[in-house]
This record gives sequence, structure tokens and C-alpha cells, in this order.
Amino acid sequence: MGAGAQSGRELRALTAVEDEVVVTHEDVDRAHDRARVTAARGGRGLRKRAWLLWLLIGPGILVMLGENDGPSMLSYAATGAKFGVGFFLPFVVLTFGMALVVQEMTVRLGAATHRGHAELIFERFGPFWGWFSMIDLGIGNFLTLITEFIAIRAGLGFFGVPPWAAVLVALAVLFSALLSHRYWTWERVVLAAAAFNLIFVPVALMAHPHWGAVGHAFLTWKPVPGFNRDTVLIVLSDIGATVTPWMLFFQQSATVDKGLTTKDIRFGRIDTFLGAALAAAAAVGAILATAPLFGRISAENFEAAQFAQALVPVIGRFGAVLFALGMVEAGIVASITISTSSAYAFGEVAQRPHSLNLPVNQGKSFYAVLGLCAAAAAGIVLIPGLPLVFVVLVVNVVAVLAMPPALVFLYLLVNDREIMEGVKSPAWMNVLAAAVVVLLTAAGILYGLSVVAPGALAWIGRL
Amino acid sequence: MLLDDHRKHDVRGSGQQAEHFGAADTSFVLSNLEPDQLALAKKVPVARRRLRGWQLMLVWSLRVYLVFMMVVVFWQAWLAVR
Repeated sequence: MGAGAQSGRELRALTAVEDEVVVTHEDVDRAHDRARVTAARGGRGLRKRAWLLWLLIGPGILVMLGENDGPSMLSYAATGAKFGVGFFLPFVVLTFGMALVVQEMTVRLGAATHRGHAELIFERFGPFWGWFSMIDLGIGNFLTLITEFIAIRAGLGFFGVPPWAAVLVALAVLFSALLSHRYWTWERVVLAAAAFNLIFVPVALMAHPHWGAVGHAFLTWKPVPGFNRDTVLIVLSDIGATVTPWMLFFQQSATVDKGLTTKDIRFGRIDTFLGAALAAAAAVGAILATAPLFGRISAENFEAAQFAQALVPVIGRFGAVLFALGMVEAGIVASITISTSSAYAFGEVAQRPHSLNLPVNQGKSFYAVLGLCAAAAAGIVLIPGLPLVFVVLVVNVVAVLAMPPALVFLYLLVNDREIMEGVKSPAWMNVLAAAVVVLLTAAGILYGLSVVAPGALAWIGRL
Repeated sequence: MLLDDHRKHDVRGSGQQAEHFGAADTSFVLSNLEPDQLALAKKVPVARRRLRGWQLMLVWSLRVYLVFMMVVVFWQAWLAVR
């Protein structure tokens, strides 16, 4: 068979395919992003590899720094103030290890199937389980969004900004990030904002931590706090500050929207690892920053501004300003990523267009859900007299409790040979995932015991 | 310019407004995206699978656990607020 004849047949076949294919705006934008990745992949040398990494990072760093949100940073600050330097430093780093295990699975799932998490649960396991997952996600996301605006309001309150203005600033940033209608631009804008999460590292340095004690804590996990209800609550709160259901849905959908394929999984892992490392650094920074308050104050139900105020004598006015700004950043970035996660999930389930590459006229429902979720949460924060502390108290705990059911579906999907194209989980990864489910369930049961049967908790503590 | 020469129309009665681009755009998209990355490829549902006995037991157990624990959390938070 002549080469010319073959080329002609291929050309006719391609033309026939192109005649049938309907390409959308979203496809063209994504193809442009992929063309750059393909061009970078062809190059050799450190510079080209660094460029390829730059093109492929995003969802992992965003999800990890996004999860260092308002309630999470408050939880870390409360951990430092209540327990000082000790067990919780390595424990928090361990929770980011758990997040890494879980989030890596969403990268593989998204890259192999090109489908979002909500979509896959609905289609693979049916609407019955799909709706359960969506209800968990919807409740968790909305409660968390409210706490983001509480953190923003409290953080800007430190500078005397009235609540309505604080909320408007946050909404303005959220909507500005969407203006380009390009996933790539949105991702870079939010990444730039998320980088400010590392502001907690210099704040920690200003607190002049005792590095010997820090090293001792990381090596020995000591001093260990007493086993009581307060400790269990902080354990649960710190876990909920790191692993939550919205992260699964967001990273998988963002991986799909970015257009990652199975060839990019290695870079997706690096992206997620970088995100976990940066977020862990910021979390440890927040603990170290407030550790000098240990034994000096009672940090029960402190808000961001109160922590910043309490830190003034320790790290000075400038350090306290940075701390308050860090809380504002944490709230803004998380409000963007969490509302986007809700919009992705809604679009996937309702089979409506769902991509940040969509122009507004083609993605009306996507942008409407995104905007309405954020606006509603922002509005609730402004209603006087609402017991918002109720939401702050439950949000991280709810996240931990909702994780095991979500993780079981992730586990089943990522081990599904029919959809995983040869990138299903290896046995050792399944063992780690199962360990995370057991740990989260055990933490939840301990919390339940601390409420329902405090005597039983005390008995376990004596063992 | 790749975005030139296109027209809009409804796709497969889904109400989703898509754009039909020219041959050059289509060729560019097809050469850079995997077939199932196309937005309209996602209209084809993934095949359903049935959960096995132990899987059903696990997801139901965790569902009951979640509902029970949520009641505990909201009850405790309500008491704390009051």
C-alpha cells in the first residue's frame, strides 16, 4: 500500500470525523492550553522541565492552600494558643500527609476519566448514592463558605473595616478572578492570591519560637496533651482543617478543566505534594505564631481579630497586621475555591456546561451557582443576631465526619479497572487510603463518645 | 485567528449552547485533546456498575454513622451556643 494512498485515506477519514464533531469554545480554550503543554513536553533540559511543571501545576497547590482557610487557620491558631509547641506540630504535618494520599487519587481519577467526581458517582453508582454525596457536599460547602466570610469580616475588622465593606471586598475579588473566562488565567490569579497564605511563616519567625523545642516536638511528638474532650475536639478540628470533601470534588474537576491526561499524572503528583508542603508550612507557622499565647490567655471561640489583638504584645503591631491579613487571604482564596467546587458539582450533576473556560452566556448556570453560593454566604454573615459561632464550631467537625463516606466512593472509583485506563491504585496506596478512612472514622467516634459518654472517653484515656 | 468564523447553535437538544468552529479550529482541537476530553463527549454517560454486598454494607454503615454523628454535632453545638 502506497504512502500517498494511505495519507489520502487518513485525510478523508479525519475530514469526515471533523464534519461530525461539534467543538465548543471550552474545547478550543483547553486545546490552546494543551498545545503549550505538548510543545513544552518536547523540550529537554532543566529550563524546559521547569516550564512544563509551571504549566501543569495548579489544582494541587490551589486545593491545599485553599483548604488552609479561615476556620482552618483559626483552628491552628487555637492549637498553638491552647497546647503550645508539642504533639500537634507533627500531627498537623501528618494530616497533610493524609491529604496528599487522598488528593493524589483525585488527580489520577480526573486525568484518566476526564470526568468530575460528582459526575462519576452519579453515573457509576446511580442517583441514589449521587444525591447523598451531593447533599453532604452542598451542606459542607455552604457552612464552610459562611465561615470564610466570617474570617474575612473578622480579619478586616482588625483594621476597622465595617462588615459590609469587608464582605463586598471579598466578593469583588471573587468575581474579578472570573472576568477572563479562562481556566488558565483564573488559576494563575488565584494561585497568586493563595501564595499570601505563606504570610504565616514570617509571622511565626517574629514570635521567635524556641527551635530546640520545635525540633524535639517533631522528633518525639511530645509533650502529649491530656486525653480529654478539648484535645479530641482540637484533633478533629485540625484533621477537618486539612482533609474535607470539597477538596476531592474541586481537585478532580479542576484537573479535568485544566485538561490533564494520564501523561501528566506525575506532574499532578508533584503539584499536590508542593501544595501539601506549602500548606503544612503555613499551618505550622500559624501554630508557632500563637504558641507564645499558651498559658497566657483562654482562646475559647476566638475570632481572627481577637487572635491578632492578643498577638500585639508578642509579635508587635506589624506582626499582628500580617496575621490578620493572612486570615483575610485564607478566607478569600477558600471562598473562591469552595464556591467553584459547588458550581462544578452542580454542573456535573445537572449536566449543564461547567468550566471556567466558558463565556458567561454559555455557562450561565455555572457562574450563577458560583456567584449565588458566595453571595448567599456573604449575606448571611451580615444578618445581625445570627448565632454564627454555631457554624464556626461545627464546620471542621462536619468535614471530618463527612469524609469517610466520600472516601469510600473515591476508593471504589480509583480501583475501577473499567474507567481507570491502567492507572488504578496499587495495593500500597489502597492500604494508605484504608488507613485514612479508619483514622477519620475513629476520630469521629472518639468525638461522639466525648459528647454522648464522657465517662467512656476518660476510661479510654486511662488505658 | 482560531476563534473567527464560527456560529452558535443548540447541541442535541440539550439546551447547551455550543459553538461550531471552522475546520481549522476543529482540527486544532482534535490534535490537542483526547477524544473524551471534548465537552460534548461528556454527554455520553459512564456505564453503571452495581455495588457488591460488602461494598453496599460499607457505604450504608458509613451513611448511618454520618447521620448519627451529625445529630450529635448539631446537638452539642446548639447546647454550646445556648
